[in-house]
Amino acid sequence: MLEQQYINILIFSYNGKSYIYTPETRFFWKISDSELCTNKKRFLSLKELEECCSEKKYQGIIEQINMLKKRKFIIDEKGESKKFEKKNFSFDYLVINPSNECNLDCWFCYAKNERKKENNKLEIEKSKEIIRYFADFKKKRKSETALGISLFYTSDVTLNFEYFREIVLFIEQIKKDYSFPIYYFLPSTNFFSPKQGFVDFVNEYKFLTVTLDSENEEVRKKVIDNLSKIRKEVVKHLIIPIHPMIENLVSLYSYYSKFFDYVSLRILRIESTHPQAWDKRKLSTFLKKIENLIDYLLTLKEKELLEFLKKIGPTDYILRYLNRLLSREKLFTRCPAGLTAVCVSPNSEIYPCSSLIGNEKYKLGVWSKKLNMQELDNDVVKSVEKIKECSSCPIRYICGGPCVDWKEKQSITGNVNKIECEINFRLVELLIYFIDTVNERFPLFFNKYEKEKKVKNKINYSLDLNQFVDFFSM
Amino acid sequence: MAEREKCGDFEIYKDESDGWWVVYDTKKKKRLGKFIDKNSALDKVAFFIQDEKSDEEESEYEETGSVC
Ligand code: SF4
Repeated sequence: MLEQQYINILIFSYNGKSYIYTPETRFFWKISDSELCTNKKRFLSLKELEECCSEKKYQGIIEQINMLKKRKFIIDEKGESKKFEKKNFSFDYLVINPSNECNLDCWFCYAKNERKKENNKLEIEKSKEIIRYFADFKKKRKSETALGISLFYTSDVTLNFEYFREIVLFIEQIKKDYSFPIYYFLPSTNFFSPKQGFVDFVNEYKFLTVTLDSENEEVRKKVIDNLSKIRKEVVKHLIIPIHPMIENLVSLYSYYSKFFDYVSLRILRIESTHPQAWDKRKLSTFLKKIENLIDYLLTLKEKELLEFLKKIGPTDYILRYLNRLLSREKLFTRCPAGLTAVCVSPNSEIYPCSSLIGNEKYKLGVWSKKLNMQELDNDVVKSVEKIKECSSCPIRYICGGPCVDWKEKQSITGNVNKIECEINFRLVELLIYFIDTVNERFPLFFNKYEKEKKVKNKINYSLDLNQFVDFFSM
Repeated sequence: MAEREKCGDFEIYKDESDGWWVVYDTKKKKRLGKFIDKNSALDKVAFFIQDEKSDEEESEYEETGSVC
């Protein structure tokens, strides 16, 4: 008899292997195919599991799950787990968007609509005042966490590089007035027509992130040509926004890693009216591409696989899921937008995220010297525990909940975006299968990966449920 | 020395010289402790596997991100 009924367990099979994944502790195990009745549902509560496993032949799994509960490998989410606590209100990330100008017109740009409006520009003195204001607020709050500052998320930094440089100098000057660290970071650029001043800066800064429309031949060629201006020792990171009908993912990684040190693929949030918009049919084509990627990775030899993963960048959508599964980290929110991060528009309006600029629903305030920072307190991004659908979702602590901007783009009024959920579920399933299969073939692989990628590998237990339970049975 | 029982990176075995149970981390090549009975040794392994220390909340933030 299973006593607690609140635990939802993810159950799935892929390529003839079956797994269970438990949300609170983020453990997963491989089970023999015949061991579990799945009732054709994606996940089951313990009560449902017990009901559907009532036949005698399933009694083994019920006993195993009871043992996992006894030793707290599966815990009761209503009682025993660590819950989300909103931190002392202050901000750790500030993004100032002084303008919306751009020299390209990428179809997927999140600032496209704003760019059509009359283009204001935030004066540089105002940007400095805003930075001071946020830093002083942190000081008053006795915040010890760092303040990270960036600019030009809704425009290309190369077009206003002198502005950026002056802010960098300003940040360097004011740092000494605060006990917490203040740092700036160079935003991503389209790198289409960088001037010498920008190139010199990057060569000193030693890090460059480029966002590229990989399907625009002219842009692609020019950007790759421009890389010759950058010194060898500069770490070059490429972000490629991907849509559901994108070509083969393997070739994207392989081709661009010849020119860049890291390649990150980012899944695009597309307006529902756009021809490329996500829909059920495109989603299933896209999921097939992720399956093909995983299948391809599993054809590689150990060294080749490590080399391939080494080149995947830190903001890659798929790699982040892999790393979260390996580190068994607990993600309470999808992102820090509005919680510890805010951004300012060219009109001095404050929003939780640069992608939401212009959507009145999300405007938190307008900056002025009299701004009461408490007005910015908001719950645009909620913890997964506070969102009805997410609170019982078995992958909630890996997913972190829905992206507010993606929901807006899809014109979704409900709590979650089913397209996003489907992608995330499939990623979790495929990557659990991937981790287990790699572990079987190359038992030391993830220890090497841990060293290379600086990701904690907490898959330090036996993934075979029978072996695991045998070990812990007296 | 008794036969070692293994679970991932961890092993336990009975030290025949004193009858205590040893917990050993094969990755770190380190003895994690000695316990009077097997159950306590298993509790220790469970504790290490469950280790929540590095579970600090981390959420998605693109340091070098951009909306374009
Ligand atoms: S957004 Fe979807 S996949 Fe993510 S936690 Fe919520 S219900 Fe689950």
